[in-house]
Amino acid sequence: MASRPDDGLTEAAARTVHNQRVLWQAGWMRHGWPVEVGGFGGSPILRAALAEEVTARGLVYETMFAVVEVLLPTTIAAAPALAGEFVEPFLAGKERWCQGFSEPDAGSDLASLRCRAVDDGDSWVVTGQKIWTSYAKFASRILLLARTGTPESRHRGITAMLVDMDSPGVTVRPLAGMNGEDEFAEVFFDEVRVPKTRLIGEVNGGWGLAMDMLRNERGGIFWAFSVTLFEELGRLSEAGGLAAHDDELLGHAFVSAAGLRTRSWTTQHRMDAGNITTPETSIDKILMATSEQELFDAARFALDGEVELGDDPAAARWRSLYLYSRAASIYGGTAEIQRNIVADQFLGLRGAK
Amino acid sequence: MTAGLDAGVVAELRRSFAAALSEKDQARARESLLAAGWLEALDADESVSVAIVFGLQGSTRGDVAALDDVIAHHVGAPADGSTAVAYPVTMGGKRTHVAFGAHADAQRLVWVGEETLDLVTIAAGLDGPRVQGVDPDLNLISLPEPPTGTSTPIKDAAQVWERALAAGRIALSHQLAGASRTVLDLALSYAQSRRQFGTSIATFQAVKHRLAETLVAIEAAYAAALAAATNRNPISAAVAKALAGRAAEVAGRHCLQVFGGVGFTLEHDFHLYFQRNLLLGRLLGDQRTLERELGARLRTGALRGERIVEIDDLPPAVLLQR
Repeated sequence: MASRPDDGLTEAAARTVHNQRVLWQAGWMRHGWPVEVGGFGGSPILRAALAEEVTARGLVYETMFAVVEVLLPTTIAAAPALAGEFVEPFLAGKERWCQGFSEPDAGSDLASLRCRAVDDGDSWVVTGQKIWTSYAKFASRILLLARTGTPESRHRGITAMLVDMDSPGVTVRPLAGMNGEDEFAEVFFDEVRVPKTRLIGEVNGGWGLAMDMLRNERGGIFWAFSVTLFEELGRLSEAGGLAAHDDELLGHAFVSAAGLRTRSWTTQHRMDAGNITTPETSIDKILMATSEQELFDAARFALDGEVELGDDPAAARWRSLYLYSRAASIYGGTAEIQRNIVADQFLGLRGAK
Repeated sequence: MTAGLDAGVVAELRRSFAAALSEKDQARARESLLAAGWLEALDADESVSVAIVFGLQGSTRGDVAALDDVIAHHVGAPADGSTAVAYPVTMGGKRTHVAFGAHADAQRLVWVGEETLDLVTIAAGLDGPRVQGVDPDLNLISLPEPPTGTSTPIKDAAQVWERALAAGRIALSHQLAGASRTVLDLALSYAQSRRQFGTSIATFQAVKHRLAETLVAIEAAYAAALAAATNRNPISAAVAKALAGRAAEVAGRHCLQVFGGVGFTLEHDFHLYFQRNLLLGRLLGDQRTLERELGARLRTGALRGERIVEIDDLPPAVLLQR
C-alpha cells in the first residue's frame, strides 16, 4: 500500500508513532481489542472504523494499521501470555513489530522456508535470512516463521516466534525500492538465541497461524486502505489540467476503488459474524492490487507527463506512488498465487485431474 | 421497507420464485411470480426480494419484466403489477424507448422523458414492433413515441427518477451477476470434464486464472449491489451497475475462452447468457457511459468525500451468506 513519500519514511514513522500513542492514550485505539491486552473489548469492526478515519486523514502511514491487524489477532489467540506482555506496547505505539515470513528461496512457495531454529534447552538458536520485511529498520520485534522440522517437512515443520530485533546476531539490510524508499529489508539471523517463552502457538504449528495472518493481510486491512484510494482520486481530480477526455480514466479507477471498498465492506461484516474462510480474502487482495494500479495508471496518463518528467514535489509524490503501486500485485502474495488460491480452494479446482 | 424477511421466509421465497421463473411462457411465468408473492415481498423487503428475483432472472434467463415492478414501486404507481415502463435507450446516439413484452397486458405505462415522468393509461395494453437486436428472446417492444392515452405527470420527476433509476440499476446488477455466475458454473464444470493433452483443462493455470478472475469480478459486482441496496445512494447504484456490466464482460470473455469453439456455437447455452447480458448491460446505463459520467463528476469535484458505503451500513444478513 502507498506510503507517504513527500515527507520521507523516517518522518512518517515518527509521526505515526506519535499519533498512535495519542490514539491509545485517548482510548480510541483500545476499542475492539480484548481487555487482556489493554483494550476496551467490543467488535473488531470498531478497529476498522478507527483505521479508516485515521488513515483518511493521513495521521499514520497506511501500513501501521495493516501490521497491527495482520500480526496481533493471531498472536493474541495463539499466545495469550506472550500477548499479555507485548501486545499492549505495540498497540500503544511504544514499539513496533515486523513480519518475518518470506525468504530469498521461499516467496510464493512459503512452505519451503529454511531459516532454522535449533532446539538448545530453554532457547532456540536461529540462523538464516528473511527478505521483503517491511519497516524492519523501525521494528523492535519480528514475528518470525522458522524451520523447526526436517528440511523436507514443509508446512508441518514451521514454528512461529517473537524475536527481539536487538538480539545479538540480528542484522537488518534495507533494500532500496525503485520508488526511492527503503521500506523493505533483508533481515539476517546468525545464531540468534530466542527464549522458548517467545513461542507463538505450538512447535511445528506455525503454518496454520501464518495462514490466519495472511487471511488478515489479504482481507481485513483493506477497509482502511480503500478510503486512501478515494482520497488519492480526489487529489488527482484537483491536480489541475484535467479535461473531459480524462473522465473515462477517472471513472474507471473510481469504480474499481468502489469495487474494493464494497467487497471489503462485506468482508468486514462477515468477519464480524465469524463466517469467513481463509481463501475468500484472496478475492479482496486481487481487487486491492488491481484498483491501486488502475488508479495510478489513471494518474500517470491524466497528469500528462508529470509522472515521467516532473520535478516539483507534487510530481515527485505522484511518481513515487505510481512506482510503489507496481508492487501491489507482488507483495502479500502475488496476483498469480491469489488466483491459484481462488481457483483451487474457492472454485474447487484443487486436485483437478 | 416495513419489515425484514428472515432466513426461513427467504429460503421459501427463493424456492417458489425459482419455480415460477422456470415456466417457459413469459406471461405465464410473470403471473406465477406475482402469485408467489413477489409484489408483497418487494414491499416488505426490497433489498432481499430484489436480490433473489433478479439473481434468479439472471441464472434462469426467465425474464418476466420484474424491473417494471421495481420502478413502479418507486414512482408511486399502484403496487398491483399493472404498471409497465418505457425505458429510455440510445441507438446510434438517438434516444428512443423500449418496454418488456412480458408485460404487454399492463394497464399503465411510466414514460421516462428527458426531464419528465408521465403515467400513461393504456387500456389496450402495450403494442409495437418487437426488438430483434442481439437477444430477441428478451421480447422487448420498441416504443419510439408515447402511446395514446390519458397522461398524468409524476411530481418531482427528477428526484423520483433518481431513486427509481438507482433501484433499477441495483436490480439489473443482481441479474447480470446472477447470469455471470451461471456462466462461470457452466465453465467450471466444462473445464473439469474437457480433456486435452491427457488431462482435464482445469489443471492448466491459464484456465484456472480466467475462472478465478471471473469470480473476482462477480463478487465485486455483488458486493456493490448489496451496498447500494443497503444505503440507496444513487452513486453507489451507478457503481454497482458499472461493476455488474464489467463482470458480465469478464465472464463473457474468460468463460468463452474456457469453452473454446463449442461456446461460440448455438449448440451450447453460453450465447444465451452472453447475449442477454449484452442487452441488460446496456439498459439503464452501460459501464462505459456510467464510468464516464462518474469521472466527470469526480473531475468537477462533485464526488469529493464520496465513499460509496460506510462501515455502519448493515448488509442484510441473509444476503451475506453465499
